[in-house]
Formats: sequence, C-alpha cells, structure tokens
Amino acid sequence: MERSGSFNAPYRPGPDGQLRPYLLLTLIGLRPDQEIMISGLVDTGADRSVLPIDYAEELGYTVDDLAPVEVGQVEGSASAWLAQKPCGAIVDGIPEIEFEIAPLFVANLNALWGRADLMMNFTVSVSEKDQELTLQLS
Amino acid sequence: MAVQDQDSFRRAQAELEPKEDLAPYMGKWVALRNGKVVASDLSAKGLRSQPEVRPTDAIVPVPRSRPGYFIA
Repeated sequence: MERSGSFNAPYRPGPDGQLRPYLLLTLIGLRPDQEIMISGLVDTGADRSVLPIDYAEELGYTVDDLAPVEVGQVEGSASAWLAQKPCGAIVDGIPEIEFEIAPLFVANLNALWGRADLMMNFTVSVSEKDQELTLQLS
Repeated sequence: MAVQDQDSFRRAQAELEPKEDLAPYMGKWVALRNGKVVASDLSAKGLRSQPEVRPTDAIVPVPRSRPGYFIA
C-alpha cells in the first residue's frame, strides 16, 4: 500500500524552557543492539543531521569510521567528524519508515535533524503560530 | 502500509520529556528515569559508569546553548 499520512506534535520545551520543534528519533547503531533515543531540534538550516560526539561511541563508531571535517556555523568554523557509515533511524511513533543517517559529530551538546536524511524521507513543516511540528510521509 | 495513528505518535514523541527543570544541568549529560534525573556527568561514558545509572535509563545531553541566533 502506498505510504501516506501526516503527523503533528506540539513544540516541546528545551532545557531553557523555551518551546521549539524538537523531534524524538531512535538511532540504530552499527550493531543492531545499539539503539538510542535522541531528541533533536528540527533545523532546516542544517545540511545534515548533527550529534554530540559522545553519541559516536554509543552508536558503535570507532575512529576508523569517522572522517575529520571543518564545518561552518554561526560562531565561525569548527572541527567535526563525519560518519563514513550510516546508522539506521526511525521517528518514534512512525516505526514503519526506517531511513539512514550518516551523522556529523560535533564537540557541543546540540542534536540537530537536518535536510540530507530526515528531510529526504519526510516533508517537514513547522507552524510557529500553532507551535506545532508536522511530518508528512514523502 | 499501516501507519501509527496521531495519538500514538504524540505519545511516543513525549517519551523523553523531562519532568523536572534541566537548566541546572546545562553543559552536562543526564540520565533520565521516568522523566526524572537520576545522575549527571560531563560525558555520556562517565555517566553510564555511575552505579545508580541503569542500562534502561535515557542518556540525554543538556546543551548550554543552541546553534544559530536566539534571544538569551
């Protein structure tokens, strides 16, 4: 059957109490028993999904699986490590759709869901007026 | 293909929602059990090694700031 459907969820509070479009994903690491739920901010300005570097080990990545890269951000350039192998991902609550993410690991604690992975599998929209995030199967 | 209904999506998305203020833990990792902080550490690995942390606890980073522009 053709995939269809639209899912919406309210903005959720961040650590500072501000409501933003956070989305909960389960990532499946390089070994199938390495599953982690990660809450990240949906960010259409992020070329790809970004995770804190501590998640690399939690997902089974070793130094050999990561390539050092320089990335641009608001504060200037920074060092990061790009996964050379993808991990699996599902949006919690939509288990039928599994897709791949090759995360960019960074030295800060922000998790961002970007365009190259999440948004290749879902059409994502936010309504600031309604404080609501919508995912549409694409 | 059957897809989950809207209510189950919303319930699943709320699973990691903390039930306490995480502001005191900014810059650290916290272990959440039923939404409550049971331990914190500067690294995920250090947190997992703490005796009070169970394998089933959610290990969550608490960022000090967000990338991009925002009003502090």
